[in-house]
Amino acid sequence: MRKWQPPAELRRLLDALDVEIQAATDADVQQAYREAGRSLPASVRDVRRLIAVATAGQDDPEPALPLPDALCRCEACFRQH
Amino acid sequence: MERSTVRSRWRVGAPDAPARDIARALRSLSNADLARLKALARLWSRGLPGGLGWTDILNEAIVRALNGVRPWPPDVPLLAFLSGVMRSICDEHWRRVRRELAWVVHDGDVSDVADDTAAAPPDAERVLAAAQAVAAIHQLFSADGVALKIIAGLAEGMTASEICHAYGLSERAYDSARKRMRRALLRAGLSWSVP
Repeated sequence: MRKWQPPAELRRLLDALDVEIQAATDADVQQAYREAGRSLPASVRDVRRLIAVATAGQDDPEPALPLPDALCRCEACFRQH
Repeated sequence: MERSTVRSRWRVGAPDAPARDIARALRSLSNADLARLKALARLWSRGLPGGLGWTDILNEAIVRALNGVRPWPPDVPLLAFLSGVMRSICDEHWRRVRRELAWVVHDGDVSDVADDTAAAPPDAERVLAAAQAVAAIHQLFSADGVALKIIAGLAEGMTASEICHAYGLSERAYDSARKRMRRALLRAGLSWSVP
């Protein structure tokens, strides 16, 4: 009989469940929260807050445009005025 | 899904681009992505000793990604990347606990304590925590007989076709059960571990 090794079994399970969570579709997520009677936006507010705090200071002035593109756009703007 | 968060390569010559890239990608995650991220953080942090919770693990993963300790490989989805970082953090934590325990038990001599947790025999605390976590996973799916069979197969390291063959499941029954399992895991993300 094989010896039961909980850490090894848990590792295999966690790896498999990790894949399952990542594979869950948006519809799966919506349905899971509906079934639990919870609001999705309210339930992830803590994660959003954690991200906001952790990424504070990583701002840049023109996040939608890379710097050279932003400079070109500014020059064009000055030429027009 | 988080298709929009698969990063395109950053502009060469912008020294802080990777951190900014990650920050932007994190902030642009949808509510569904955040729910998945929370479920992943709760999954990996479950049963960690030392009072560490999912917020600690997720925060540490984000910090490591932002400061470049763990670079985000191109074309890897953000959630997959962060999940891998959280997995490593939890492994490190267990290793640290193991070394600290050895320090106490061997009165400061830890020269014979292996660094590789996988290769070394697990300590009693880790075995107990793992057994409890395995039991909690089974409990999570206790009302779903097919899901329990799949869990048993996954715990043995079996593939999908091997599980179907071993338990006489049709492909359709297997896929339906996996969808139920995903939703159960996401619901568990609401209460799986203490933050």
